[in-house]
Amino acid sequence: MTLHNGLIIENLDVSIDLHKILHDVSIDVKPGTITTLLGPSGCGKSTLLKAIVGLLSTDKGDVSLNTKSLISTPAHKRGIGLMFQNNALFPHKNVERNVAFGLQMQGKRPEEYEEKVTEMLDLVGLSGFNKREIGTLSGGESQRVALARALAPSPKVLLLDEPFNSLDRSLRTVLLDEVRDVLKTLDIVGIHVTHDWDEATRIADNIAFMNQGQIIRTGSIEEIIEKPKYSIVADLIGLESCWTPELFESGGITYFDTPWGRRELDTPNSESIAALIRPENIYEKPDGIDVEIQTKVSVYGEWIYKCRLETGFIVSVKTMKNYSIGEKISLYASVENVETLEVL
Amino acid sequence: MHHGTSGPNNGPKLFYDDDYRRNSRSALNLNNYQKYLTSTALIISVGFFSIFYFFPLGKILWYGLSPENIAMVFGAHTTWKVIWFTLWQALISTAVSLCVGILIANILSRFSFRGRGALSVLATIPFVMPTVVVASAFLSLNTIFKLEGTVFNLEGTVFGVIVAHVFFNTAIVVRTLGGWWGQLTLDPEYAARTLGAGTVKTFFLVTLPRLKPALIASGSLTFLFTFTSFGIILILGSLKQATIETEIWRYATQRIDINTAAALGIAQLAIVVLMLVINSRLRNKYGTSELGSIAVTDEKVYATKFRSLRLYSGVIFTVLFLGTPLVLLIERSLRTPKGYSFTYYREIFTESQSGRFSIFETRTAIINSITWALLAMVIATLLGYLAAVLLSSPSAKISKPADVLFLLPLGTSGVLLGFGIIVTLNSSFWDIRSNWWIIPIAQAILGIGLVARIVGTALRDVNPEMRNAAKVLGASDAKVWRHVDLPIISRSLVAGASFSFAIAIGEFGATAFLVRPQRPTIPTTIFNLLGRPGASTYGQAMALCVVLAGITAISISLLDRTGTVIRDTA
Repeated sequence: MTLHNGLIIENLDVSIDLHKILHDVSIDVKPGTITTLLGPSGCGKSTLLKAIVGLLSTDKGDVSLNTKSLISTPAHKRGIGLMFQNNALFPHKNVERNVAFGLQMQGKRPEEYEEKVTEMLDLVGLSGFNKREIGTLSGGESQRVALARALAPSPKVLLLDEPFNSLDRSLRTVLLDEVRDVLKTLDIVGIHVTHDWDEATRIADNIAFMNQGQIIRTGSIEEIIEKPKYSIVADLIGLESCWTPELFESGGITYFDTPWGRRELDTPNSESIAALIRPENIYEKPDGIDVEIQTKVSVYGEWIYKCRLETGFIVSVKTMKNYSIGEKISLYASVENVETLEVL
Repeated sequence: MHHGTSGPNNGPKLFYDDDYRRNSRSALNLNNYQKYLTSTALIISVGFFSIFYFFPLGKILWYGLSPENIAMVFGAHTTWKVIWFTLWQALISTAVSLCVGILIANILSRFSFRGRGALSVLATIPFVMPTVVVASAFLSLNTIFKLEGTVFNLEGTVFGVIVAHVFFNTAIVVRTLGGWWGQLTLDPEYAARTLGAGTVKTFFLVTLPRLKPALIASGSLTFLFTFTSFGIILILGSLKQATIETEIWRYATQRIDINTAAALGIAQLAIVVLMLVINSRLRNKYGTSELGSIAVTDEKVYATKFRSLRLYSGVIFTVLFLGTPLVLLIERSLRTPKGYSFTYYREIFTESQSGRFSIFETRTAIINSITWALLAMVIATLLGYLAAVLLSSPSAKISKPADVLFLLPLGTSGVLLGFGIIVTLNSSFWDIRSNWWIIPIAQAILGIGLVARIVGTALRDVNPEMRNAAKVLGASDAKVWRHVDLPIISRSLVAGASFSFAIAIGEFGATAFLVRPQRPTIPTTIFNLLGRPGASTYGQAMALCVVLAGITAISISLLDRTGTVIRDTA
């Protein structure tokens, strides 16, 4: 791992009540870039954020910022901001006093932080909200206040724990774009947690997949799409035609059957694997396999159909043509385009 | 509520808040069934309270309010001394109870450790201990540790009264606060930590303000209980430390000076009402701002240096402070001049005695107490349910006055009520004060407010749309009640019932006025036994205390099964 300015997490282990929650987690994030932690619920994403910010004690490993280790620094002295899933605003303080809290903790007096508070509220589009009570805010406003509060003490790192989950889709995308702009403008290290691939692609420069307390795959969005490597990753990024085939062996060659013929494995492999066929690699072709359309969904003018083969096998296919549910079509795919993935 | 008139966000709200829901609910029309239920509840509860509560208290006002009488009683220096003492001992008891309660509630709701369940039970026990039992426990503490003559003397001293009050009321604070605290997410605390606040600052700037509603609720309740405390002052303060409550009792029963007792009763009532008004103001102001953000948390927070020290010292303190008096009580009940044995238990159940003193009707007292408490429980639960219907009425015209009406008995002292009934219900055509059934009625009145509050909270949780859904699915009004309302409130009904049973069986103030010598209850018998010298009477008193505590514990274990959090008792 190269030393750089930014946040470096090395070989972190965390346990809660003797249960090991995180195993050997390493990530590094440069200033002005955002890494999204993606993984199923309960995989340890939120635990990792709490460990980074210092709210949970670690068993081993290091967290360092700008080459300085923070592992023995208590949470309130780390200078890492955290935005919570449920905003965690102080219900007994108004907007202004929520935003000012971190500045007060730095020992600043009202006349010193007033301007900064107003600036932060302007930044998140809530000018004039200074005196509002927390109970009167809508969900989107609350999250904006939470963002202003997290940014006010000028943290070098901002961690975002599924901050916009409770909001509706359109508002969520707006806020994600805003957060991304703010982090880029202020050159802040961002770590963002979600289980939603669309949200990840909207905000992240890099993605780190977590499963059962471990980082299993990291890379840029393109790299991940190109090579998901694991079936669980393919599943999380929305590649639906992924299945676990039965493996056969004949003459030293391991293979499995696909609707379009036999797919041989490049290397003899006795462990279980997953097979993936991407929608864009399946075509309509008169002499293909007959399928029945089960569901359809429109994405930017294209249709993605989920189709059922006679054998019960389900595949997804992408096309411009509009079919009805229950209609029969014929599909073809090249066996070479069936990818193999590892199963965890 | 403040609605912003400036700022960019005046469009339609994405999230409707509670006010919106409340308004939409009050816009609902009451159907005939609800109207019928509400008016029945109104007639029965108002009728009952008029006869057994307002009439007796009104009569006291009538006796006490003549100008000469007021001038005489409140012109006396001793009266003000008593009022002043009652106030300050209640304030100090409340403050100390809150501090100790915060400490214990913190350990119970924010730490996970082995034996937490047991500690939680231990912290709850004093809450339902009859005052007579608590006072007796501290008396035995005094004897065993030979505290008499030292600065820690508990008998006849303010110190003793306050320690016993704290012992008794800490449980209320722990119970109310713990239920609330455990349901608050740790996120705002975490947020404060990441924003640069240390543990101490986080506690004072974030945790404490968030606990405010529970602190107000348990603080007001504690103040009311210590302000009108009777058994503890009478037994432990032994009349050297007179409060308004014990003075009312003394003037009414020993000096037969009804006018002075009535004037003191008015003073007490005035302060209680004032307290209730303040409490209701505070509740409206700080209300239930955070209820709904329910997420029981028990996480390993960043290990601060003193965390385990805090835990261990807290646990040891709790066990010693709350456990010792109870253990000593049992020890004293088993200890006879001839060694440890069940002699005293045998004596109280057979009403026999080895000594030469008169025999107390201990077995009769046990039977009376259980019977009357059961009756009181039935009355309190039925009327409490009807009161809850009024409390949770969608019409503010009904729910607001009901709130005041049913809060009053909660804050009324038993002594005042018993005194009121004695001076009132003895008119020539209706002399009921010597009927036995007036005792369970008086005991029930003191429990109705609590049942109403517990059940009312549950009733408010019944979503009216749920009733409508059942209706359109073909359920009759009765069936809606049977299948929607009842299952939702049943736990609260059981909780309320066991509470009112515990209150009734341990009730001492009102009962002390109303019992006749030939119809004793456990608490009055304990008091009488303690007033007589001799190892045997003392041992019997202790054994009766243990029996009473045992019965109360059984009734309250029912309550614990229901898992009700009494967050809305005051």
